[in-house]
Amino acid sequence: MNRAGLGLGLHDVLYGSDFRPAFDALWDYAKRNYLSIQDGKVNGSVTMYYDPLIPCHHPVDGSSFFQFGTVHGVLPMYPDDARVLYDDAIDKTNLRESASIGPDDADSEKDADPMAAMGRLLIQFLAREFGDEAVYAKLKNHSEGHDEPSWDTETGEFTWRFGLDEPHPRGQLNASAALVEAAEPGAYANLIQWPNLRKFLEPTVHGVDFPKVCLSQAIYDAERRLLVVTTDAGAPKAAGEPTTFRITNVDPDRCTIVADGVASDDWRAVEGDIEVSTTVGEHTFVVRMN
Amino acid sequence: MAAMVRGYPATSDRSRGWLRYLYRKATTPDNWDKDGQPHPHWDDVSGEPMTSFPRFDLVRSSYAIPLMADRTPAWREVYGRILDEFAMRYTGYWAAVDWLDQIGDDPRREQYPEAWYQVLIPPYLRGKYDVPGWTANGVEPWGLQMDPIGADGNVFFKGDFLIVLGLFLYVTGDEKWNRPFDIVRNGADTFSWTHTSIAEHLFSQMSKRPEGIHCGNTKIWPL
Repeated sequence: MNRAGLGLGLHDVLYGSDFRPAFDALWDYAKRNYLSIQDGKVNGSVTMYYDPLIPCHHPVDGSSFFQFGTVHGVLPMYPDDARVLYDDAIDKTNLRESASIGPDDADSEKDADPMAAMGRLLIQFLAREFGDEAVYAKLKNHSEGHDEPSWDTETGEFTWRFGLDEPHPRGQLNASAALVEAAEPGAYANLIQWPNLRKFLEPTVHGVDFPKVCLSQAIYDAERRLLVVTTDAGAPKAAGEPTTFRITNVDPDRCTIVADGVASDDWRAVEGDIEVSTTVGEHTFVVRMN
Repeated sequence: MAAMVRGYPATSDRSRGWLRYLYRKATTPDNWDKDGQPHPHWDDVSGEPMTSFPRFDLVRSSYAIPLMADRTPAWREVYGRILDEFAMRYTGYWAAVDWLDQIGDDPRREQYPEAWYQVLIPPYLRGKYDVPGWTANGVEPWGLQMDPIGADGNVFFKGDFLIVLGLFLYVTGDEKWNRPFDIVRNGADTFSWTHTSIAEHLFSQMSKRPEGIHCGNTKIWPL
């Protein structure tokens, strides 16, 4: 239900629609009837699901993973309520004080369960998002030792194997770990609270020969009128090969480029865009819009 | 130390390595229609009984994409391509296979693993109640409804699809998924929707049901 609210919230942000009030009413109902949120605290039972035909409120009780799931679903829409639910769930798991490292997961044997790993990674993501560095650091340390982070030196691909002897990286668990890796405080909430829509009008890079080349930085600084682009080391077997990328939403007649700290002429105007020539490998580019 | 321009955000080495893997995974052709089969690299085992279906791999894998794309807002083409591949697969039969195949009450009600009874089912309903994750399409009060979006329940399917479509638009600015497209595509069970018509439908359902919309029939989840 909360994820449906996030879907509506994204639609409103991007299309200017007004669907959110339906979810606002539903969330208000849920806080009172399912989540026991009152005066900034959880004061009572938290419902895992409600069956109106029986009727029955089935409680979360010891399965706090479900409560963290609710936090994740509602966080971009209601960050303050999400924090209330998060703090309550953290207290229930006794995560700050004990050696436990996840929901329903007080001993190391259970930690071998892939689902326990998914719950633990969800908490790690939420801790990072909320800036709860103590919990984040504790779980990150555990993840490094247990989730088997792995590089494929042939392809430059990175995955987590979780101690599973399987032909393919386990998808849902890898998705959870990748979310943690991408997390920054407040970044998830910003999708709704402070969405970046200026990017559609600003200088934009395209035509990168991915996965041979990948950009580690690409951002327009509107105040200084410059575009920062950085290429990474590239695919392992492609180092040094010539490559190009293009930049659109620019006026080529007003641009200058500094590549690896030196003024560069290795670019040309093509169909109103800029085409930059370089090689596969780590390079920095600063494109000034004069 | 990796090259970078100080003072500006960057993606991590690991995130870019993951991006390379996910791109290969998302762009490897497969067929999610009824006569096809998702590639085995899509996770249909994690989270049984509730999320052990391949669409949950699509949804969970979507969440990291906008966060990475927001680190490189001036370069988003690869992130958008991946989300487009996710959305395309979400229209297939296999994305809704739980709703389309789990008809009526679960015949395994009395043979669930003990852990499911302990955590997921009220004790007094043991053996007489469908475990969460069994969608029970066709049971009262709604009856059989083969459109996984138009159905009265199945809110997690349509809600998650809205997220994938919203994240695609957020990353790309491309409104392609607001043109009519077909889902399920199984003869008479072919249903046409757009990004906005899904949102309108969900808004209408939420407005009519203050207590919430069924996820799998007949359960309402705050999750």
